[in-house]
Amino acid sequence: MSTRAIRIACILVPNFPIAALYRVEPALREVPLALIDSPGPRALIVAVSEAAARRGVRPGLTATQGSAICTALALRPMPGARPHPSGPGPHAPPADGGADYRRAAQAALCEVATSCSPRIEDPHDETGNGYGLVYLDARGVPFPSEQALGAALGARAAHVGLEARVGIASTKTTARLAALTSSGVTVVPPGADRRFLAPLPIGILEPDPERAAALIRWGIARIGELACLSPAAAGQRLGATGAALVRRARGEDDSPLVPRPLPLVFEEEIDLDYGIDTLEPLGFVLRGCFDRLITRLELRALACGGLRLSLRLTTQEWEERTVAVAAPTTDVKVLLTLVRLHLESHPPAAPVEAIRAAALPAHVRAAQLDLYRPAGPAPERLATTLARLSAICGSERVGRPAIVGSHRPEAIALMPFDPISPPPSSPAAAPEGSCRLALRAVRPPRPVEVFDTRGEPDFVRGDGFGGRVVALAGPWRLAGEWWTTDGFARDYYDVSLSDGGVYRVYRDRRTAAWFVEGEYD
Amino acid sequence: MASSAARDLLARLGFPAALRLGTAGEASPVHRLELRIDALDAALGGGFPRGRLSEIVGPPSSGKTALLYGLFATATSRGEIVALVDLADAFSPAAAAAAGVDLARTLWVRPPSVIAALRCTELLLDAGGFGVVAIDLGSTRHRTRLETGAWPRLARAVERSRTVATVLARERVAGAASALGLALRPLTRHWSRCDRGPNLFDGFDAEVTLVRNRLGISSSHPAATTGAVRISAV
Repeated sequence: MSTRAIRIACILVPNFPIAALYRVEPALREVPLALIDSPGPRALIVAVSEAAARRGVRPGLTATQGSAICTALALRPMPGARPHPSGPGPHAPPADGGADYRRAAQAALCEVATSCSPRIEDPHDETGNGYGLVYLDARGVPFPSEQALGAALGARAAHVGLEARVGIASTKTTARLAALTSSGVTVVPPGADRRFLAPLPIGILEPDPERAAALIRWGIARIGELACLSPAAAGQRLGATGAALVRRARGEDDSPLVPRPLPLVFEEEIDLDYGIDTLEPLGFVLRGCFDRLITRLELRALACGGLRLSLRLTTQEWEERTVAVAAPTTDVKVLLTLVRLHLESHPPAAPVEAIRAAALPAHVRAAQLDLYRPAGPAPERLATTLARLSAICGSERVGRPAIVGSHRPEAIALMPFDPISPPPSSPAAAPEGSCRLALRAVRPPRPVEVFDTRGEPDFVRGDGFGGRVVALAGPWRLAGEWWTTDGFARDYYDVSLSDGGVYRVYRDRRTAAWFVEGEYD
Repeated sequence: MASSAARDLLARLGFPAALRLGTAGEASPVHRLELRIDALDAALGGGFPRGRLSEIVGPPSSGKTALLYGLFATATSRGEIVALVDLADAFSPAAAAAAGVDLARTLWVRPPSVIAALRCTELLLDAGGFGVVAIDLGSTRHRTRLETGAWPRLARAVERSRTVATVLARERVAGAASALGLALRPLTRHWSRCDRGPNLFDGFDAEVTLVRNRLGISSSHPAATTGAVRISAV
């Protein structure tokens, strides 16, 4: 599908605050729901679900009136309408108090658009205007038709938990009105914008009350009738706003599509009805958060490279947690296991009543297959496996071994395992026909009891081994890091014991204590 | 009559009974990873079997770790990725590098318990693509805790891969689940004396015995001694 004429798609989620809340709490779809502007019985209803509207609940009623009309009415605070007792917390504190689930839903909607076109415009501002609306450039996208593009956008929006309508036209206004006035996907062919808009009522253009009254006085009820007026003449009588209204009625946009790159911010938040003080229900809530995060990451072909959790406790304090992920993954089960292990080892100081989870985006690297080398594990599968291994063993116990530039024999390092592009290395040539003597490390070196004759070990007794020394090699001296408080000075021996084992032991010259460092095997 | 009964049985039982009963004479060839020790490779029919569980067992200082590092070195020199599930926490990066192991292609996992070690091994085998996955049980005795089906499950996981899976332990632990068992026993220790300096430990000879063989390697006796291996310090 490719055309040079400007084509704009609009994704619109009707009744966005309710839809955004459904995304966080899907169980609310089953009950009549109303959003209120503040807590308490005198709160005003500001948005209602379709089920609540069918029962006669409407915006403007008080919460008490709404509950009287519909006893099963579920009430939730409208984000941004409730002052919060806590002051500014750490890490992006909520400016508006409770969790603003609209923010994450809007970001998800933008990610749906980005998954189809790189040029998108997110019209929402800090005051909350423009939520539930995203425009994208519909030219040159890899779909066979505009109808197919619209269907894909609708399906992907449903995948992130939002029921969206899609309109595609030559201008932003027409695309938005096409999405607003009909369900599903509406495609307005190029050049047909004015014809499409003509039968629609002028109220859909949202004129201010003064101009709406003037238009009614003039007998203008449809957009087509308004479009017949001259913008200049309408401007003389209704001002600049009136002229802009006529231009919109003609299918002309005041501003073009202004695409902006979408920031790589993946956050989900949720307010709980009451403080949770056990891991199992917390895991249930976190699972929903992670599901939504991973769905969003997958739309951008990304994976989770780490997690940042902000937990608001019942003491109104915020606790910050960072959970490392060994390798980027999209496996929710793995993330849950990592978080569970983290919370088990560092439990919150009080019950948790709000959660904000942020995923650090990372790319899963593609593997370049080699003609002459065997294929390794699939990158994504390996990443998931590494994350699971880290969940079982701890991230500090899984990785690539590395030799540290130190003379201390027990010094080791563990680096992230990345076999796709291993660092250049020149391993020693493997000897053919025989095996190289290997030392099994005793980590950390364990103290042993040594009976010596003129300084040389004669009998060694340790944990699980011991015997008379039947042969020995050494001593050779190793000293280093003397300029630190943790320096070492050792006399090493290789001892063959009567129990059949050959061990490397040393005497610490500072303390005169003996240790076993390894077993030859 | 017998064949129709077998067909009924196969239809009822399905895989894997069907595989075993119907294709006894058409076993797929076992791919191998050679150790580059001619005598041992010949005795093993070409090297360590891929897609099978094998065991390397022996007392302390018998050379089993040297044998494992040799296997790692061969695999990584071919560009394969290897993994060590190191329950004993005894892996020495310096010793492995000296033995020719490419550490950049080595995944080192240090599980906290035996059960975790087995779980990690299963995860690695399920991931696929590893040339060698080894589990080092160290010196502790785990046989009683692991007799409850852990090893057969691991053996089935290995069969789904093209990985050399091997267990390093003091004594055999996998029982009938392993296809190959090598027992090592130290023979002569080699020491050298400098003129006016201390002794040096040069290495030792080890006797390798094939104590289990379910791979059809031609051998006059299942416990045939395959010969000696030199474990040298240089």
